[in-house]
Amino acid sequence: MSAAVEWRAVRRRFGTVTAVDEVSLVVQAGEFLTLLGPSGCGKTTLLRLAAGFETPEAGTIWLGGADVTHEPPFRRDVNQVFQSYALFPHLTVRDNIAFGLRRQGLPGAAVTARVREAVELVALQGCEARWPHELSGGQRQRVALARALAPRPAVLLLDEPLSALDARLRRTMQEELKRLQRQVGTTFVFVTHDQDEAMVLSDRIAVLQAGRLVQVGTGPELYRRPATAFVAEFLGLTNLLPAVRAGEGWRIDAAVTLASAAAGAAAPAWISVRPERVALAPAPPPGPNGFRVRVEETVFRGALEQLTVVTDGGTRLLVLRAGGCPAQPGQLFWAGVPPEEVVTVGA
Amino acid sequence: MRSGAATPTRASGSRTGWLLLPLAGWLVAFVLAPALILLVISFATRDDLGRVVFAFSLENYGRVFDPVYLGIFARSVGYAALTTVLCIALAYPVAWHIARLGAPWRQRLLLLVMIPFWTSFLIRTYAWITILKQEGLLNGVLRHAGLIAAPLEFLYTPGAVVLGLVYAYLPFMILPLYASAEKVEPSLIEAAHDLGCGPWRTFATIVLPLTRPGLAAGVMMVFVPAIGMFAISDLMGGARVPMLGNVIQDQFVGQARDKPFGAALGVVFLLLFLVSYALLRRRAEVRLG
Amino acid sequence: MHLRRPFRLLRPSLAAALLAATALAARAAEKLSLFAWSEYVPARVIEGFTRETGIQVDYETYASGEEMLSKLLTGGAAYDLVQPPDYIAEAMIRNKLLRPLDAGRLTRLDQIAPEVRALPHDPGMKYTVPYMTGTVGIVVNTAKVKEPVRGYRDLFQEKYRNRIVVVNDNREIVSWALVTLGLDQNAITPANLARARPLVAEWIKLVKVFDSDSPKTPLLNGDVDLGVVWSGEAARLIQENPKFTYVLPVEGYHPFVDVLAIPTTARNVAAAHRFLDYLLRPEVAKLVSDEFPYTNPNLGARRLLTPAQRANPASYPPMTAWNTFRDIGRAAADIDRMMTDLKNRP
Repeated sequence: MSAAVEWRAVRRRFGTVTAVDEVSLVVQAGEFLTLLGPSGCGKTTLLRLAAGFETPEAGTIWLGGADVTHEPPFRRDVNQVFQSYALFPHLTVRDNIAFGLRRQGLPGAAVTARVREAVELVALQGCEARWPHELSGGQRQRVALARALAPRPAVLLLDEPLSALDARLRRTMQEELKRLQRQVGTTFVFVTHDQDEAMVLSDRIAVLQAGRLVQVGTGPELYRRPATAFVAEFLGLTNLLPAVRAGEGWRIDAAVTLASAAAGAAAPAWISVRPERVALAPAPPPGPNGFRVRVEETVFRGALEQLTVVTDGGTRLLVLRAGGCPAQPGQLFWAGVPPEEVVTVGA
Repeated sequence: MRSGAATPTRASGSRTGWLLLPLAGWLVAFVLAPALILLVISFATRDDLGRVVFAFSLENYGRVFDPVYLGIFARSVGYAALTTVLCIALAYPVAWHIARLGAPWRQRLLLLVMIPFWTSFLIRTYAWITILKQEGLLNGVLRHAGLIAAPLEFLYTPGAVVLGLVYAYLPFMILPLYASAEKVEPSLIEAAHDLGCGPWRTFATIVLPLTRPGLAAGVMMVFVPAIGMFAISDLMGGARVPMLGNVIQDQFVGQARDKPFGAALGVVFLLLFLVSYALLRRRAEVRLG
Repeated sequence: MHLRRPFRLLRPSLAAALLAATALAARAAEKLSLFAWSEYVPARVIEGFTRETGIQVDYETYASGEEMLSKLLTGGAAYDLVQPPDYIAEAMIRNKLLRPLDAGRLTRLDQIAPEVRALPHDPGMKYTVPYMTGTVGIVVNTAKVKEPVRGYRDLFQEKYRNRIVVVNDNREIVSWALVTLGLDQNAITPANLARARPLVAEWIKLVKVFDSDSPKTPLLNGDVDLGVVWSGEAARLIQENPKFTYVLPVEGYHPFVDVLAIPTTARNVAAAHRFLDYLLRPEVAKLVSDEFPYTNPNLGARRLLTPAQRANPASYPPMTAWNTFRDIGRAAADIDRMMTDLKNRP
């Protein structure tokens, strides 16, 4: 695989705010990479730097092996799907989709064919003559996708394209996006603040925090082995516990010390335990890491039951388990955590 | 789809009808009635003192189509057209950049655009005369800079007239263009760049069509009054060539004392304006489907 | 016809200030409605009259005699005093638009110079009292023009192309050509116009600026070096710089007389007479000369002027003939048409 997009030590400031701070990241050709982070983390700026709407103060941007840092957007082989869709209101669906094709100087017949192809790709047949304001949100989304894909860019940049859609439509579109990417094979760089969406869609996820790249990896990698407390908390629910080294294990409180499979660093500040990895049983578990807890609160969440339990040392833990017979507050259990699920994370 | 809008419910129809009354009254009193009076007078004759005599005559219209007046008409339209084109060229970048700025700067700059209106138009024109005259500011600066040996003629030239017209009407182009430009989403421009358009092509394919309402309003507010403007050609052009406005003014309060002929000129001017407006509208509608 | 607006540039806000001042105290007082050229009646005259009589003066202005006539005929407002030029006064008298004056109420009519009393527009001053008189003559900037310029033939020469300002007044321009050809300036016939046409055509090609409002401005600014202008404007130029000279053209010239008169529609005839009588006082009439250095028809006022004022060749040129413009009725439109045509030709 070769690099489709590469940011090399890129920095971009807005006034006193450093939106992107020394970020280096490579997106492989054909990859679906998601830039994930809370609002203001710099993910959109990173995307706009790749599109050419922003110029970095330091560092370089590479597309397909060429330095494009100082190339204007219209000379970059990337297309963007905008958060607001940015459909041209004075052009029909057909003309919107044909817009980029015409700029490429394709003959009329070829434009027509490529528009038809793009329309079929996003299943918009029959809407070609309509105006953007006559379309539903989902339809506009498809037009934006078709318009950006029609010129067959090397890279498609998507800036929170699904954020304006309602939950159900969003799920449908997520599936479609995934299908589309497989079908066309284009490199997708996708920006979102929604970790679920990132997990569903991405080959790899790059997590950003306050302008810095924190961790890059596949969804499972990030979920199981978060590098920092921020990543652990941002991706899914977790129990983030301050811990101190105690022999081979980590002391959580006066009553509980957990063994970890990871080769522990000298003095990490935190360990992360996913709530669904805590097993509750009436009797002490066979392996290590068994300790006694009392149920403080239960919340019914459909397929799952969410419990807050307290150790004898007074530490609160969140536990998720398949809903069976519901637990009662005050009920006592033995909790067990496999050592490979006790993850040490940086601050 | 118009039929839907044209048949409102009875209740809402009568309510909006009431609300439209002041507008209708205004239109009748200040647009329709004067135009009708003009029309009636244009078919009349006059006595020695210049009083209108209501005896039906087509003579005035015969004179309007005299080559002398057609020539003046053509020149006035030419000056107005050149003024409009220059105003568009200057106003677009100004309006566009103001619209892209943050709110505080936008307000300050809009204020600057409007500040000239606080001073009398004549005083501003005289200010230009002080700048452009032979011993004026511009010649002084050029001479000091060593760019010219003898003073150049700026004032009392056609160029001075166009400068004066552009100066007078530029705000009327900037403001409506700004109003339109402000509504254009910045992301549309980025989308156009993204899809391969350079700045000029982005302007032609996106900015121009999307600001067309502002442009149309600006053209109306510049071109039409510029045709009838006479003070600038008098003051900055030395009144060497007559403009339509001069001719009409002469008939009503000037030497000619021929109101019916002035009225006929006015009626033809009005008709020409209405017809070109209707044509523009038709084209715009065809374009929008 | 005259689009004469004396010194409008110098005093752009006078009328507005006056209107505001009079509006303040105007409520209950007796009123006089004066309809006159803009910037032609000094504020000091109006204030003095109000101070003495308690009569408030509403000073409404116009920019041409034709504009005044047009507004008067439309009948939108009643004016107690109007200020037409001679030939318009003539037309107004003929059409019974002016009221005969009550000579018994005008105690100083004898101050008016004899030559101005019997002019054809109103012989014997039955309807009008002369306000100011003047001429149209040639101004030369002698710093730039060394050869003598005595008349129109000297002035309108190729070497002065683009160095000439003339009043933007079609009848004036045509009258210069008529007198140059030895024709009667008031005989506006198709035949005479046809004879004048080539001369006018040749002349106006040489003109750089047509300006009736302030023809002295391009001369002062150095944009032109010669001009045919109102004598009051010329007098101002000479006051500012003696390099300017004024001569009456040798081919012939004509004086003009601006008069004051009472329309038949006047409401306050008594106040109008009082104002006329007030203006006839030499010390009041002199104030007009101070601000507008035309020829003062008031002999007593002339005696009060400074030697410099009296010696100004534009204010008091050596005049022999008193052939004023006469009303030409509809022929004015023929002049307008010819001039429009000529100016329109490149």
